Amino acid sequence: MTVSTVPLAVPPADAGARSRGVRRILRAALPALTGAALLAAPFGLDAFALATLTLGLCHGLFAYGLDLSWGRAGLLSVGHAAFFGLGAYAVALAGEHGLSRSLTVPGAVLAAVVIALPVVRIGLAAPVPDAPLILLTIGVGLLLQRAATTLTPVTGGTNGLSVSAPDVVTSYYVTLGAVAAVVSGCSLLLVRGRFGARLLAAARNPERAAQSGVDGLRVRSAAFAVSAAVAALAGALYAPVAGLVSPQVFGLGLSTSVLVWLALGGRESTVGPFAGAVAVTAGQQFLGATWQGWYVLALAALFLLVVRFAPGGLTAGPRRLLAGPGPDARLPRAARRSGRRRPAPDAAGTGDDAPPLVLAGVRKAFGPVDVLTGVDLTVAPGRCVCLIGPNGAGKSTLLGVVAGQLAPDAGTVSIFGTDAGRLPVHRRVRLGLGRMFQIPSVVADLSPADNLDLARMDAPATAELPAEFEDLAADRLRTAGTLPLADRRRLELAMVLAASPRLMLLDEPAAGLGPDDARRLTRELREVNRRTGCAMLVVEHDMEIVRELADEVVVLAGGGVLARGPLDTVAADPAVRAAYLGTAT
Amino acid sequence: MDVLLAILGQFGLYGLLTVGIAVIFAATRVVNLAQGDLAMCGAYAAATLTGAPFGTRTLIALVAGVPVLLLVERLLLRGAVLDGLAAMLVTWGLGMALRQGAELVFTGTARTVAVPVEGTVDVLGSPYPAYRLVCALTASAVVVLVLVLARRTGWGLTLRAVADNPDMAAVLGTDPRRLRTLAFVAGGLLAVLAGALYSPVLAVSPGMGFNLLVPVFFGLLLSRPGALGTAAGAALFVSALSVLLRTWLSDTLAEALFYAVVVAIAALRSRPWIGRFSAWFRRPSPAAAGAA
Repeated sequence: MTVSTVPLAVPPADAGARSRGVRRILRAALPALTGAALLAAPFGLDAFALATLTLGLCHGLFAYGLDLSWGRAGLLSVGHAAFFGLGAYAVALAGEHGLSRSLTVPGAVLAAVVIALPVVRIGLAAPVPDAPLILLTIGVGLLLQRAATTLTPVTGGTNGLSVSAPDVVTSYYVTLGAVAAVVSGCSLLLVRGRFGARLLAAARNPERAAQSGVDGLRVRSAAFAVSAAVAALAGALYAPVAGLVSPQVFGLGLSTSVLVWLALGGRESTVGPFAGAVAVTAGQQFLGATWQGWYVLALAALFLLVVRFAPGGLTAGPRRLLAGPGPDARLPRAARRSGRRRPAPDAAGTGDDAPPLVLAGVRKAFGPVDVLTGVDLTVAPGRCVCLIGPNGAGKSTLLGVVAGQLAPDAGTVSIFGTDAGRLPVHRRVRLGLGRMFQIPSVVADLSPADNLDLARMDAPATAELPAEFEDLAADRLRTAGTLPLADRRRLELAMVLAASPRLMLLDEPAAGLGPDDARRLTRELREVNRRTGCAMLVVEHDMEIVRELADEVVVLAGGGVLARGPLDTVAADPAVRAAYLGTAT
Repeated sequence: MDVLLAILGQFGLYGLLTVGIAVIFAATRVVNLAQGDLAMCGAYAAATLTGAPFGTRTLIALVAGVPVLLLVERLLLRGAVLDGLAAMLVTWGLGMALRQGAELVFTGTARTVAVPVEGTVDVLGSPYPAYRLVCALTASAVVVLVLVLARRTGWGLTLRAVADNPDMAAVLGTDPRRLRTLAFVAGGLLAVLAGALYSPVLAVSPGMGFNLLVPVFFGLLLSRPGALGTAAGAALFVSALSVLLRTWLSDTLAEALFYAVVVAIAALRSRPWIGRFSAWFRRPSPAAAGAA
């Protein structure tokens, strides 16, 4: 795609270019220097410091794992030590019962994933997953801790099991190597790739992500499962370093500590969790036992302050400087390449002869209230159908049913000849459906250009945007959330258009716009309809706009279709007048 | 009979805590993860101020709780930048700080509190420790009082209105911020009261609060936001479940099974056909509001 031509065009070009160069050098040099320092660490540190650093790295990997769920997927787990403990016990049990670690550790990782998947599915089934997830993760941790305490013959009960370890230097290099492998693997496959882009969108605006063809449920569940697996691996590394594994590894203390490390270090970064974990662990090891309690109390206070006043953590400032101007959240560059196309059965296979939308006998009730009582509706190819009707007629509900947000109680929804009644939102998007919401829904933390990249990434086809959207496509500096309403609506329209939809759903596209902006938007929509032949289903109250847009008007009243036809015919229909104005007869 | 009394006793504790956490959740949409730790503070107040009679100690704990809770709400929980998750984390941090503080000041070993009412009473033929009965009845009475207040007074009506739709309630002239402060303090005080009342029955230790969190949280998850009656009902269910499991099974197995039931019910609740009949944990989102 040719949109990303001017990513960082800041006016004072000279100074801008210089600081950009400095940043680029720093971005390359800092990781290299850190890597070299870590490799050389055994030559400069005494045994105690090295052991502390090893422990810090294990903790860092644990925090990095948590970051995949809490930071990147937006799913808070306050019992992540459950997964960590699984890994630690896998190593300890292998030593105790003469099993091979190459058997038990993958077993523990598998167990972590098997536990994590139902937990996250249950959590995500709730509209707001925070509270169920917190409860479930606490519960899993307590349950495992209980099991480890009581199965004394196997686990050694409260006393735990001791684990033999190689010498300090070997153990350090083994840990460092494992950490580097896991982090680069996750980074390449998950964070920096398209998966990372999908995850970022799904965590921040699930609605718009689904509307961009992203399967949010799958992406976030996968991130949570990987997060659990990484935590288990960290536990497996931790066991020989600590030398002792007791039921406390499942416990509240560790789950809380890892939250603290991550919160202090900073989420959604690679450096943050490691910096936080190593610093806190070092402090803990070097302070004597007398100050231990006060240290933890101080950490608790610091945690409170960071969560409350500096949610980016303590490394946020330097990271922001290094990243250069622009929003904190950015899509990985991989998202700019247009993704795998799935044109075959979804997009083109059914041909143009199938009508974009056929509804037959669609019913929907909310509890005792019947909102839709059998709607039949057809949108012919290239036609713009306006849906009007008095308040409470069920217009928005109907759009929700077509988009896949609401499941109909009865009836069929067929999109381009495909029975879509049971398809989730993102699958319908891949059939060629695009949607604009009544309140514009864009990923507020990303720049407009990133929003457009997101829209193209998983779309079945992409389209070049008309010239009037050029400013949005080039804007990588502002966040979309700071745009004025009219621009956000334009951005949403651009996102929908970039995915080259063949059927657009619009819910009061001009709501909240002034008359000039509304007229401009209407013209743009009419133009899109004429140029691309995209069919439209528009809910609109403003009759000026309806007159401008509609090829056909459908009047919805009392949950059913009351009348259809050209606007003037419909407006003259006495039944319609009665529905709007109340019956005079 | 023993079992029924045990359930009543457990209900007093869980009921106070659950109704407290439900009051806070209704007004602020924040699950107060420090609820159990506030109870721990109440229990320590009863355990340390041994010079005064028990009733006075409880009163002191409550009176001292007010400014502390006010301060916490003002400094840490107020502000528009705080979304639900961040606010929950703040309460988690608060709980952590309270636990650690208690461990520093009182050390980790558990304490016992002398029972203020000695002796046993006969309840329908079976002897039962008098104090357990007294505190169960007191706690239940307070729960009932809170429910009546929520049902019958303007304050309760405002609470329910804010729970249902804070923006609309604000438009209609209530100040949600004041209500939030009030609810946080009231809910927190219920926890402090629960801790103080039950201190002679429980082992008082810094970690006791966290053990209370899961059953109380579970009760909240089962209730409907703003409907305190359902919270009390859920607390009753949770108490009955834990007491019954404990009478039939060993402690460990009972606890394990309790968590298993918690997880199972949470899983069942996530099925859409159940979800359809409820609006549990639904925060009004623009899309949902637009679609409704």
